Amino acid sequence: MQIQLNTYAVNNVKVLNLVGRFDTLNVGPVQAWIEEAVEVEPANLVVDLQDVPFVDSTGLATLVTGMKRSREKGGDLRLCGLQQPLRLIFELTRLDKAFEIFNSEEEAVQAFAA
Amino acid sequence: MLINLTAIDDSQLEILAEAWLASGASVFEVWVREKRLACWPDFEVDSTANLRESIYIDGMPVAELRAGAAPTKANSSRLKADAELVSNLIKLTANLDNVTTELIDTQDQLVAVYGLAKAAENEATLAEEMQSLVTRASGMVKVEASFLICNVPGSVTSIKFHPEPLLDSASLDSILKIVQASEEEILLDREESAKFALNFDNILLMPIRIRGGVHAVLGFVNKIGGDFLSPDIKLARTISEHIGSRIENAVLNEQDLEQVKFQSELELAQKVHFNLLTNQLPKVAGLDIWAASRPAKRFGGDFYDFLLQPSHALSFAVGDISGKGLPAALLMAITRTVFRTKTPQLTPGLAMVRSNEELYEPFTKVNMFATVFLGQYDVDERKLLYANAGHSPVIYRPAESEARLLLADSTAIGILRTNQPENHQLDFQPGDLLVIGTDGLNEAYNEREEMFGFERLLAFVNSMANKPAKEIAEGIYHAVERFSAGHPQYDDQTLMVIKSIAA
Repeated sequence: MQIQLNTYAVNNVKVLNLVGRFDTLNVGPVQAWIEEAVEVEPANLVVDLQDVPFVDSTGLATLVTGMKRSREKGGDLRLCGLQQPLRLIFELTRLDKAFEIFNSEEEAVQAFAA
Repeated sequence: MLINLTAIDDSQLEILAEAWLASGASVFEVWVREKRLACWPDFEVDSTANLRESIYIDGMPVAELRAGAAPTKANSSRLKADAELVSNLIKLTANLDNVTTELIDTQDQLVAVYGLAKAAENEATLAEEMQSLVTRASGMVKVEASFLICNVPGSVTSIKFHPEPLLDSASLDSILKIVQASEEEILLDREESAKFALNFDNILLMPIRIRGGVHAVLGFVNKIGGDFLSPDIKLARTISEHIGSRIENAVLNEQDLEQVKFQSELELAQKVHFNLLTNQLPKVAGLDIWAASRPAKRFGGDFYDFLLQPSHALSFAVGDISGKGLPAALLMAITRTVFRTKTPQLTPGLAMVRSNEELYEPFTKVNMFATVFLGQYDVDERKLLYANAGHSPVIYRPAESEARLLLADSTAIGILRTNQPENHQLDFQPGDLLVIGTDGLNEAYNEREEMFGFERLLAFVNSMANKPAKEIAEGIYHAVERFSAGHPQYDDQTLMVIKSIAA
């Protein structure tokens, strides 16, 4: 299944809303979005995973890369909307310690303003 | 036009003449340019023919029929009809001649190319074959000199002349570029060739297509006896097509050879990878151990490792590199090596910290990470010290209670510059069981897109806990296989089962 990307900006925060499985076969467009998004400072990014039922390790690695790159540029890549099984994946890999994770997109965006 | 007329059979004209004479005509003649070419019944000193009708070919009068007969309308019409008949006859005969010439030409070319192909077969290398073809092409098209420039990017490059080099490399380069730009046959006379700084009477350049692009040119210089005519160009075209197919074959063979070399290197890499993964299972007093790894593709990013230490300790590791295929396999080899060097002197937690410091940069450069479970078993104390960097599933099943997951307390290697997995200790008495897998097991899907999951895994471990390590591992593999029947294995599946038994 092809992943869907919905992108928009709220103030100086770039938001990516993903729909579908986020795995090896689907990471290309997301990598491209991240590469473009981190070019403009501050690289404040939010990835909304509310409609993502599954992330494999390549998908996780893509998010980790986005997080590292945006932090290098004085910003961050934050996550929101994680549903169970995804929440479980983040807890088991303890990526919940590496990422800032929010319940909703509004909270994630607002946190950049704080 | 005289030729056209003489080409037709005299007997055809004779039939017309006899018909005229039979109907009372005194004479029947054929005239060309005011000269009498044929006459029935016999040549007379002066012609007595009074009726005249021109024979037209393509609108031009080329000859005349004359008859000595009563100047009636009927006779005029008859002579006119005969002239048209002869005109048609001339045209048909000419067409037949053309077709015949064409056939002979084609056959000559086929014979020539066959000779060309047979002669070149004896050459050992492509370079020798090309030289032989250029030499023969010169003779076949009858030119003073010929040459071949070939430049297939990353493959065949060749310049051949006959009888001797007559152009410098800059001129050859510009000729190749001109032909590549036009993609057409180019024929230049002395004046035109001077524009390209070439000093020849005439030059014919034939583009040669190789793998869809013009990558070579066959050149013919100074046609002996005048200009390049249509049959010369046709022959040149046939020769260049033949050369093109020979070069194309050579390029394909070369690629096949590269492919074979690459395949054998890949197979060697696979053997190395396989050897890294299939460690001999250690024999440790009080432990029943079994481990295996099943890559989803040719190469996998999972690994497991054992290290027996002189201090009566067994170190073991199970890791999963994010991503798949060769890149993951290469990083797996590096990760395994780093852990091997850190593990002997350090506790699992500290070995993780140090390994993360070393691996953070390389992992960041290639956008990957590795989850790792690292354990150290003290044979004398029957204690198990472990650290977990983002790895799952790890299942601990004490002899007297239910199986549970040992969750990681820190994230995977290569994600954060500073990462501090803690040491944890477990009692590992006879009957206690530790099962370390990789996510390819719990994330195996069935046809209904359901995941195998942790619950099934835990239940299975509970049900099999009394069995030997090997049976437990094979049972898990079997259960996952059954569950995901018909669904291709998506991720690597690695299992290490360690069971404490009576010494």
